Amino acid sequence: MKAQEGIILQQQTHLALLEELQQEMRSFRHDFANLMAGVTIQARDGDLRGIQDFMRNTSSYFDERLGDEIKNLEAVSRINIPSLRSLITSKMAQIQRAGVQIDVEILYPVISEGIRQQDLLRSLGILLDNALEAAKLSEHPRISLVLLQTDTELLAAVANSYASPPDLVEMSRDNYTTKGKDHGTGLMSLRKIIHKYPGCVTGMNLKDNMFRYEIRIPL
Amino acid sequence: MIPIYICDDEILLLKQLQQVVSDQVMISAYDMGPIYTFSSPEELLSKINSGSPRGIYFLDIDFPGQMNGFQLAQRIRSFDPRGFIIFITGHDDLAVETFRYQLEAMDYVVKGDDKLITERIQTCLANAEARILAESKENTQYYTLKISDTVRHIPLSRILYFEAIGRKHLVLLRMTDEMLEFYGSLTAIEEEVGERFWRCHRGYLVNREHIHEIHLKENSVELTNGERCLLSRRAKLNVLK
Repeated sequence: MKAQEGIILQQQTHLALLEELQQEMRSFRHDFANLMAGVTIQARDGDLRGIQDFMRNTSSYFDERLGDEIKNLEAVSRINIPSLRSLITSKMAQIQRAGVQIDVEILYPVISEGIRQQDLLRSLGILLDNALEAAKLSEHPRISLVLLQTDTELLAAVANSYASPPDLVEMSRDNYTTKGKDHGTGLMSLRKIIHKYPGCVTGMNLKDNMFRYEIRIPL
Repeated sequence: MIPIYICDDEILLLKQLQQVVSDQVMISAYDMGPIYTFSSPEELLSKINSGSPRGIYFLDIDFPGQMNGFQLAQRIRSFDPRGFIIFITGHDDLAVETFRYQLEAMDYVVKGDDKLITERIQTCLANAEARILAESKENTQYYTLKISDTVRHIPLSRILYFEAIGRKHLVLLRMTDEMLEFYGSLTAIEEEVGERFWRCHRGYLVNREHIHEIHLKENSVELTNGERCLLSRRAKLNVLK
Protein backbone atom coordinates (compact mmCIF):
# COMPACT_ATOMS: atom_id res chain seq x y z
CA MET A 1 0.00 0.00 0.00
CA LYS A 2 2.79 2.35 1.00
CA ALA A 3 4.54 1.70 -2.28
CA GLN A 4 1.43 2.52 -4.24
CA GLU A 5 0.94 5.72 -2.29
CA GLY A 6 4.50 6.63 -3.08
CA ILE A 7 4.05 6.03 -6.77
CA ILE A 8 0.87 8.05 -6.85
CA LEU A 9 2.54 10.90 -5.02
CA GLN A 10 5.44 10.86 -7.43
CA GLN A 11 3.17 10.94 -10.43
CA GLN A 12 1.15 13.76 -8.95
CA THR A 13 4.25 15.84 -8.45
CA HIS A 14 5.46 15.03 -11.91
CA LEU A 15 2.08 15.95 -13.33
CA ALA A 16 2.09 19.21 -11.43
CA LEU A 17 5.47 20.10 -12.89
CA LEU A 18 4.33 19.27 -16.37
CA GLU A 19 1.24 21.42 -15.93
CA GLU A 20 3.39 24.29 -14.78
CA LEU A 21 5.57 23.81 -17.82
CA GLN A 22 2.53 23.86 -20.05
CA GLN A 23 1.33 27.07 -18.49
CA GLU A 24 4.77 28.62 -18.98
CA MET A 25 4.70 27.66 -22.61
CA ARG A 26 1.33 29.29 -23.10
CA SER A 27 2.39 32.56 -21.56
CA PHE A 28 5.69 32.39 -23.42
CA ARG A 29 3.90 31.96 -26.71
CA HIS A 30 1.74 34.97 -25.89
CA ASP A 31 4.72 37.16 -25.03
CA PHE A 32 6.70 36.01 -27.99
CA ALA A 33 3.84 36.84 -30.34
CA ASN A 34 3.90 40.39 -29.00
CA LEU A 35 7.65 40.64 -29.38
CA MET A 36 7.51 39.43 -32.96
CA ALA A 37 4.78 41.95 -33.71
CA GLY A 38 7.09 44.66 -32.45
CA VAL A 39 10.07 43.61 -34.50
CA THR A 40 7.94 43.18 -37.61
CA ILE A 41 7.12 46.87 -37.42
CA GLN A 42 10.79 47.70 -36.93
CA ALA A 43 11.65 45.65 -40.00
CA ARG A 44 8.99 47.42 -42.00
CA ASP A 45 10.35 50.81 -40.92
CA GLY A 46 13.93 49.82 -41.68
CA ASP A 47 14.95 50.20 -38.06
CA LEU A 48 18.12 48.14 -38.21
CA ARG A 49 19.36 49.29 -34.84
CA GLY A 50 16.08 48.31 -33.20
CA ILE A 51 16.25 44.90 -34.79
CA GLN A 52 19.80 44.35 -33.60
CA ASP A 53 18.77 45.24 -30.07
CA PHE A 54 15.88 42.85 -30.33
CA MET A 55 18.15 40.05 -31.51
CA ARG A 56 20.57 40.61 -28.69
CA ASN A 57 17.88 40.73 -26.04
CA THR A 58 15.81 37.82 -27.15
CA SER A 59 18.41 35.31 -28.25
CA SER A 60 18.39 33.82 -24.79
CA TYR A 61 14.71 34.46 -24.17
CA PHE A 62 13.60 30.94 -24.83
CA ASP A 63 16.39 29.47 -22.81
CA GLU A 64 15.69 31.68 -19.85
CA ARG A 65 11.99 31.03 -19.80
CA LEU A 66 11.68 27.41 -20.75
CA GLY A 67 15.04 26.00 -21.64
CA ASP A 68 15.91 25.46 -17.99
CA GLU A 69 12.62 23.73 -17.19
CA ILE A 70 13.05 21.34 -20.05
CA LYS A 71 16.69 20.70 -19.21
CA ASN A 72 15.84 19.90 -15.61
CA LEU A 73 13.02 17.52 -16.44
CA GLU A 74 15.18 15.82 -19.01
CA ALA A 75 17.93 15.39 -16.44
CA VAL A 76 15.57 13.95 -13.86
CA SER A 77 14.23 11.48 -16.38
CA ARG A 78 17.66 9.88 -16.40
CA ILE A 79 17.24 8.73 -12.80
CA ASN A 80 16.18 5.13 -13.10
CA ILE A 81 15.54 4.66 -9.40
CA PRO A 82 11.87 5.59 -8.92
CA SER A 83 12.04 6.65 -5.30
CA LEU A 84 15.07 8.81 -6.00
CA ARG A 85 13.40 10.42 -8.97
CA SER A 86 10.39 11.13 -6.86
CA LEU A 87 12.47 12.71 -4.12
CA ILE A 88 14.40 14.93 -6.52
CA THR A 89 11.24 15.97 -8.34
CA SER A 90 9.48 17.02 -5.17
CA LYS A 91 12.56 18.81 -3.82
CA MET A 92 12.84 20.66 -7.12
CA ALA A 93 9.26 21.80 -6.83
CA GLN A 94 9.82 22.87 -3.23
CA ILE A 95 12.94 24.82 -4.19
CA GLN A 96 11.29 26.55 -7.10
CA ARG A 97 8.29 27.52 -4.98
CA ALA A 98 10.70 29.24 -2.62
CA GLY A 99 11.89 31.39 -5.51
CA VAL A 100 15.25 29.71 -5.82
CA GLN A 101 16.60 28.77 -9.22
CA ILE A 102 17.64 25.16 -9.50
CA ASP A 103 19.76 23.50 -12.19
CA VAL A 104 19.91 19.75 -12.34
CA GLU A 105 22.64 18.00 -14.28
CA ILE A 106 22.49 14.28 -14.79
CA LEU A 107 24.58 13.32 -17.77
CA TYR A 108 24.33 9.56 -17.55
CA PRO A 109 21.55 7.26 -16.30
CA VAL A 110 21.57 6.75 -12.56
CA ILE A 111 20.98 3.07 -11.92
CA SER A 112 22.91 2.02 -8.83
CA GLU A 113 22.48 3.40 -5.34
CA GLY A 114 25.69 1.93 -4.04
CA ILE A 115 24.34 2.17 -0.50
CA ARG A 116 20.97 1.42 1.06
CA GLN A 117 18.32 3.30 -0.84
CA GLN A 118 16.92 4.77 2.34
CA ASP A 119 20.29 6.21 3.26
CA LEU A 120 20.83 7.69 -0.17
CA LEU A 121 17.41 9.34 -0.06
CA ARG A 122 17.98 10.71 3.43
CA SER A 123 21.38 12.05 2.43
CA LEU A 124 20.13 13.85 -0.65
CA GLY A 125 17.18 15.16 1.29
CA ILE A 126 19.48 16.66 3.92
CA LEU A 127 21.77 18.15 1.28
CA LEU A 128 18.95 19.80 -0.59
CA ASP A 129 17.23 21.07 2.55
CA ASN A 130 20.46 22.65 3.73
CA ALA A 131 21.10 24.14 0.35
CA LEU A 132 17.64 25.65 0.28
CA GLU A 133 18.00 27.18 3.74
CA ALA A 134 21.19 28.94 2.70
CA ALA A 135 20.25 29.89 -0.84
CA LYS A 136 16.97 31.48 0.25
CA LEU A 137 18.90 34.14 2.10
CA SER A 138 21.29 34.98 -0.70
CA GLU A 139 21.10 37.79 -3.21
CA HIS A 140 20.85 35.58 -6.28
CA PRO A 141 19.36 32.36 -4.94
CA ARG A 142 20.66 29.39 -6.86
CA ILE A 143 21.10 25.69 -6.29
CA SER A 144 22.73 23.16 -8.54
CA LEU A 145 22.43 19.41 -8.26
CA VAL A 146 24.76 17.04 -10.04
CA LEU A 147 24.34 13.29 -10.11
CA LEU A 148 27.11 11.57 -11.95
CA GLN A 149 27.10 7.83 -12.37
CA THR A 150 30.23 6.23 -13.74
CA ASP A 151 31.45 2.63 -13.75
CA THR A 152 33.27 3.12 -10.51
CA GLU A 153 31.21 5.53 -8.46
CA LEU A 154 28.05 7.49 -7.90
CA LEU A 155 28.70 11.15 -7.21
CA ALA A 156 26.00 13.34 -5.70
CA ALA A 157 26.85 17.00 -5.35
CA VAL A 158 24.80 19.99 -4.32
CA ALA A 159 25.94 23.58 -4.60
CA ASN A 160 24.17 26.62 -3.23
CA SER A 161 24.56 30.36 -3.17
CA TYR A 162 24.80 32.02 0.24
CA ALA A 163 24.45 35.37 1.93
CA SER A 164 27.75 35.14 3.77
CA PRO A 165 30.45 32.50 3.35
CA PRO A 166 29.96 29.61 5.77
CA ASP A 167 32.80 28.42 7.96
CA LEU A 168 33.69 24.95 6.71
CA VAL A 169 34.99 23.81 10.05
CA GLU A 170 31.83 24.84 11.86
CA MET A 171 29.73 23.05 9.31
CA SER A 172 31.36 19.74 9.96
CA ARG A 173 31.27 20.10 13.69
CA ASP A 174 28.90 18.41 16.05
CA ASN A 175 26.46 21.13 16.75
CA TYR A 176 26.25 23.10 13.56
CA THR A 177 23.07 25.09 13.40
CA THR A 178 21.81 27.64 10.96
CA LYS A 179 20.72 30.85 12.52
CA GLY A 180 17.60 30.44 14.57
CA LYS A 181 16.41 27.11 13.26
CA ASP A 182 17.08 23.70 14.58
CA HIS A 183 18.51 22.14 11.47
CA GLY A 184 21.54 21.57 13.59
CA THR A 185 22.36 17.97 13.05
CA GLY A 186 21.63 17.88 9.33
CA LEU A 187 25.14 17.74 7.98
CA MET A 188 26.44 15.79 10.90
CA SER A 189 23.78 13.12 10.43
CA LEU A 190 24.73 13.08 6.80
CA ARG A 191 28.35 12.35 7.59
CA LYS A 192 27.34 9.63 10.03
CA ILE A 193 25.22 7.98 7.39
CA ILE A 194 27.86 8.17 4.72
CA HIS A 195 30.70 7.04 6.94
CA LYS A 196 28.83 3.87 7.79
CA TYR A 197 29.85 2.62 4.40
CA PRO A 198 33.47 1.74 3.75
CA GLY A 199 34.97 3.72 0.95
CA CYS A 200 32.34 6.46 0.93
CA VAL A 201 33.60 9.98 1.34
CA THR A 202 32.31 13.52 1.52
CA GLY A 203 33.90 16.78 0.57
CA MET A 204 33.02 20.45 0.65
CA ASN A 205 34.39 23.65 -0.73
CA LEU A 206 33.76 27.30 -1.42
CA LYS A 207 34.33 28.46 -4.95
CA ASP A 208 32.85 31.08 -7.25
CA ASN A 209 30.50 32.23 -4.49
CA MET A 210 28.91 28.83 -4.14
CA PHE A 211 29.13 26.35 -1.32
CA ARG A 212 29.52 22.81 -2.65
CA TYR A 213 28.99 19.56 -0.84
CA GLU A 214 29.74 16.29 -2.53
CA ILE A 215 29.26 12.64 -1.67
CA ARG A 216 31.18 9.91 -3.48
CA ILE A 217 29.92 6.36 -3.31
CA PRO A 218 32.16 3.69 -4.79
CA LEU A 219 30.42 0.97 -6.73
CA MET B 1 56.45 29.00 -24.05
CA ILE B 2 53.19 27.42 -23.13
CA PRO B 3 51.21 26.27 -26.15
CA ILE B 4 47.53 27.11 -26.40
CA TYR B 5 45.06 24.75 -28.05
CA ILE B 6 41.56 25.82 -29.07
CA CYS B 7 39.00 23.26 -30.19
CA ASP B 8 35.51 24.16 -31.40
CA ASP B 9 33.47 22.92 -34.32
CA GLU B 10 32.06 26.37 -35.14
CA ILE B 11 34.59 27.87 -37.52
CA LEU B 12 33.57 31.47 -36.91
CA LEU B 13 33.76 31.09 -33.17
CA LEU B 14 37.08 29.29 -33.49
CA LYS B 15 38.53 32.22 -35.41
CA GLN B 16 37.09 34.70 -32.93
CA LEU B 17 38.57 32.83 -29.97
CA GLN B 18 41.93 32.62 -31.67
CA GLN B 19 41.89 36.35 -32.22
CA VAL B 20 40.88 37.20 -28.68
CA VAL B 21 43.41 34.83 -27.14
CA SER B 22 46.18 36.06 -29.40
CA ASP B 23 45.39 39.70 -28.58
CA GLN B 24 45.35 39.03 -24.86
CA VAL B 25 48.62 37.16 -24.92
CA MET B 26 50.22 40.04 -26.76
CA ILE B 27 48.71 42.77 -24.59
CA SER B 28 49.79 41.09 -21.38
CA ALA B 29 53.05 39.81 -22.82
CA TYR B 30 52.49 36.30 -21.55
CA ASP B 31 55.07 33.67 -22.37
CA MET B 32 52.45 31.63 -24.19
CA GLY B 33 52.18 30.21 -27.66
CA PRO B 34 51.94 29.04 -30.36
CA ILE B 35 48.16 29.05 -30.64
CA TYR B 36 46.74 26.00 -32.40
CA THR B 37 43.15 25.71 -33.59
CA PHE B 38 41.19 22.53 -34.27
CA SER B 39 37.62 21.93 -35.33
CA SER B 40 37.36 18.41 -33.93
CA PRO B 41 38.58 16.44 -30.91
CA GLU B 42 40.36 13.94 -33.15
CA GLU B 43 42.42 16.68 -34.74
CA LEU B 44 43.53 17.98 -31.37
CA LEU B 45 44.39 14.52 -30.05
CA SER B 46 46.50 13.77 -33.08
CA LYS B 47 48.59 16.80 -32.27
CA ILE B 48 49.52 16.02 -28.69
CA ASN B 49 51.19 13.05 -27.07
CA SER B 50 52.85 12.22 -23.79
CA GLY B 51 55.95 14.13 -24.80
CA SER B 52 54.08 17.38 -25.28
CA PRO B 53 54.75 20.28 -22.92
CA ARG B 54 52.13 21.48 -20.53
CA GLY B 55 49.50 23.51 -22.33
CA ILE B 56 46.38 25.62 -22.06
CA TYR B 57 43.28 24.14 -23.66
CA PHE B 58 40.08 25.92 -24.64
CA LEU B 59 37.54 23.19 -25.41
CA ASP B 60 34.03 23.29 -26.71
CA ILE B 61 31.72 20.85 -24.94
CA ASP B 62 29.40 19.71 -27.70
CA PHE B 63 30.73 18.01 -30.82
CA PRO B 64 27.76 16.36 -32.49
CA GLY B 65 28.52 12.78 -33.44
CA GLN B 66 31.92 12.74 -31.75
CA MET B 67 33.29 12.54 -28.23
CA ASN B 68 32.19 15.43 -26.04
CA GLY B 69 34.39 18.03 -24.41
CA PHE B 70 34.62 16.15 -21.13
CA GLN B 71 35.81 12.98 -22.77
CA LEU B 72 38.28 15.03 -24.77
CA ALA B 73 39.49 16.66 -21.58
CA GLN B 74 39.99 13.29 -19.95
CA ARG B 75 42.10 12.11 -22.88
CA ILE B 76 44.13 15.29 -22.76
CA ARG B 77 44.68 14.78 -19.06
CA SER B 78 46.26 11.43 -19.67
CA PHE B 79 48.99 13.20 -21.66
CA ASP B 80 49.07 16.44 -19.76
CA PRO B 81 48.03 15.96 -16.13
CA ARG B 82 48.66 19.52 -15.18
CA GLY B 83 47.50 21.35 -18.25
CA PHE B 84 44.95 24.12 -17.90
CA ILE B 85 41.56 23.12 -19.22
CA ILE B 86 38.93 25.71 -19.94
CA PHE B 87 35.55 24.75 -21.32
CA ILE B 88 33.63 26.87 -23.81
CA THR B 89 29.96 26.45 -23.11
CA GLY B 90 26.82 27.65 -24.73
CA HIS B 91 23.82 28.56 -22.62
CA ASP B 92 21.99 25.49 -23.76
CA ASP B 93 24.85 23.13 -23.22
CA LEU B 94 24.46 19.84 -21.47
CA ALA B 95 26.43 20.38 -18.37
CA VAL B 96 28.25 23.32 -16.94
CA GLU B 97 28.54 22.13 -13.35
CA THR B 98 29.44 18.49 -13.93
CA PHE B 99 32.93 19.30 -15.14
CA ARG B 100 33.84 20.64 -11.72
CA TYR B 101 33.52 17.23 -10.21
CA GLN B 102 34.81 15.16 -13.04
CA LEU B 103 38.26 16.41 -13.61
CA GLU B 104 40.53 19.10 -12.48
CA ALA B 105 39.27 21.60 -15.00
CA MET B 106 40.19 25.14 -14.44
CA ASP B 107 37.46 27.31 -15.69
CA TYR B 108 34.90 27.99 -18.37
CA VAL B 109 34.02 30.62 -20.92
CA VAL B 110 30.44 31.23 -21.99
CA LYS B 111 29.66 31.74 -25.64
CA GLY B 112 27.36 34.43 -26.86
CA ASP B 113 28.35 37.81 -25.56
CA ASP B 114 31.47 39.22 -27.19
CA LYS B 115 32.40 41.45 -24.32
CA LEU B 116 31.96 38.64 -21.83
CA ILE B 117 34.07 36.27 -23.89
CA THR B 118 36.96 38.71 -23.93
CA GLU B 119 36.73 39.30 -20.21
CA ARG B 120 36.55 35.62 -19.39
CA ILE B 121 39.49 34.76 -21.59
CA GLN B 122 41.42 37.57 -19.98
CA THR B 123 40.67 36.14 -16.56
CA CYS B 124 41.49 32.57 -17.54
CA LEU B 125 44.83 33.49 -19.06
CA ALA B 126 45.69 35.68 -16.09
CA ASN B 127 44.90 32.81 -13.71
CA ALA B 128 47.02 30.43 -15.72
CA GLU B 129 49.89 32.90 -15.72
CA ALA B 130 49.60 33.41 -11.97
CA ARG B 131 49.64 29.68 -11.33
CA ILE B 132 52.64 29.14 -13.57
CA LEU B 133 54.61 31.90 -11.87
CA ALA B 134 53.68 30.76 -8.39
CA GLU B 135 54.73 27.24 -9.17
CA SER B 136 58.06 28.10 -10.67
CA LYS B 137 59.06 30.33 -7.79
CA GLU B 138 59.46 27.63 -5.22
CA ASN B 139 60.03 24.09 -6.26
CA THR B 140 56.35 23.41 -5.72
CA GLN B 141 55.58 20.03 -4.43
CA TYR B 142 52.26 18.38 -4.74
CA TYR B 143 50.31 15.84 -2.83
CA THR B 144 48.80 13.49 -5.37
CA LEU B 145 45.38 12.20 -4.53
CA LYS B 146 43.46 9.68 -6.55
CA ILE B 147 39.71 10.17 -6.29
CA SER B 148 37.95 7.37 -8.14
CA ASP B 149 38.80 8.07 -11.78
CA THR B 150 40.41 11.41 -11.38
CA VAL B 151 43.70 12.46 -9.96
CA ARG B 152 44.19 15.71 -8.12
CA HIS B 153 47.48 17.42 -7.65
CA ILE B 154 47.28 19.59 -4.59
CA PRO B 155 50.11 22.03 -3.95
CA LEU B 156 51.48 21.32 -0.49
CA SER B 157 51.40 24.99 0.39
CA ARG B 158 47.64 24.99 0.10
CA ILE B 159 47.23 22.22 2.65
CA LEU B 160 46.70 23.27 6.23
CA TYR B 161 46.63 19.82 7.75
CA PHE B 162 45.63 16.20 7.46
CA GLU B 163 43.42 14.75 10.16
CA ALA B 164 42.66 11.13 10.93
CA ILE B 165 38.97 10.53 11.49
CA GLY B 166 37.39 7.53 13.10
CA ARG B 167 38.96 4.14 12.95
CA LYS B 168 38.67 3.17 9.36
CA HIS B 169 41.63 5.06 7.93
CA LEU B 170 39.48 7.98 6.91
CA VAL B 171 41.62 11.05 6.40
CA LEU B 172 40.49 14.64 6.13
CA LEU B 173 42.55 17.00 4.03
CA ARG B 174 41.99 20.60 5.01
CA MET B 175 42.72 23.58 2.79
CA THR B 176 41.57 27.13 3.26
CA ASP B 177 38.31 26.85 1.37
CA GLU B 178 38.01 23.14 1.03
CA MET B 179 37.74 19.92 2.99
CA LEU B 180 38.33 16.59 1.32
CA GLU B 181 37.95 13.09 2.68
CA PHE B 182 39.82 10.08 1.44
CA TYR B 183 41.14 6.75 2.72
CA GLY B 184 44.74 6.58 3.73
CA SER B 185 47.10 6.51 6.67
CA LEU B 186 48.69 9.54 8.24
CA THR B 187 51.93 7.66 8.67
CA ALA B 188 52.18 6.93 4.96
CA ILE B 189 51.22 10.49 4.12
CA GLU B 190 53.81 11.78 6.57
CA GLU B 191 56.50 9.94 4.66
CA GLU B 192 55.25 11.25 1.38
CA VAL B 193 55.07 14.91 2.28
CA GLY B 194 58.25 15.02 4.28
CA GLU B 195 59.66 17.69 6.51
CA ARG B 196 57.20 20.39 5.63
CA PHE B 197 54.65 18.69 7.80
CA TRP B 198 54.74 17.91 11.48
CA ARG B 199 52.98 14.99 13.14
CA CYS B 200 51.94 16.89 16.20
CA HIS B 201 49.48 14.22 17.30
CA ARG B 202 48.54 10.72 16.31
CA GLY B 203 45.58 12.18 14.52
CA TYR B 204 47.08 15.34 13.01
CA LEU B 205 49.70 16.10 10.39
CA VAL B 206 50.19 19.84 10.26
CA ASN B 207 51.81 22.02 7.62
CA ARG B 208 54.54 23.95 9.43
CA GLU B 209 54.03 26.94 7.13
CA HIS B 210 50.56 27.36 8.56
CA ILE B 211 51.41 27.16 12.22
CA HIS B 212 50.67 30.38 13.98
CA GLU B 213 51.36 29.51 17.58
CA ILE B 214 51.87 26.49 19.77
CA HIS B 215 49.88 26.49 22.99
CA LEU B 216 51.76 24.14 25.25
CA LYS B 217 49.48 24.47 28.24
CA GLU B 218 46.37 23.84 26.22
CA ASN B 219 47.94 21.02 24.22
CA SER B 220 47.03 22.55 20.91
CA VAL B 221 48.61 23.97 17.83
CA GLU B 222 47.00 27.08 16.46
CA LEU B 223 47.02 27.61 12.73
CA THR B 224 47.10 30.75 10.66
CA ASN B 225 43.36 30.56 10.10
CA GLY B 226 42.57 30.30 13.78
CA GLU B 227 41.82 26.61 13.82
CA ARG B 228 43.43 24.34 16.37
CA CYS B 229 44.93 20.91 16.11
CA LEU B 230 45.69 18.68 19.05
CA LEU B 231 49.19 18.41 20.41
CA SER B 232 50.23 15.10 21.88
CA ARG B 233 52.46 14.73 24.87
CA ARG B 234 55.16 13.10 22.81
CA ALA B 235 55.16 15.86 20.24
CA LYS B 236 55.18 18.41 23.02
CA LEU B 237 58.36 16.89 24.38
CA ASN B 238 59.96 17.25 20.99
CA VAL B 239 59.04 20.89 20.86
CA LEU B 240 60.53 21.61 24.22
CA LYS B 241 63.81 19.97 23.38
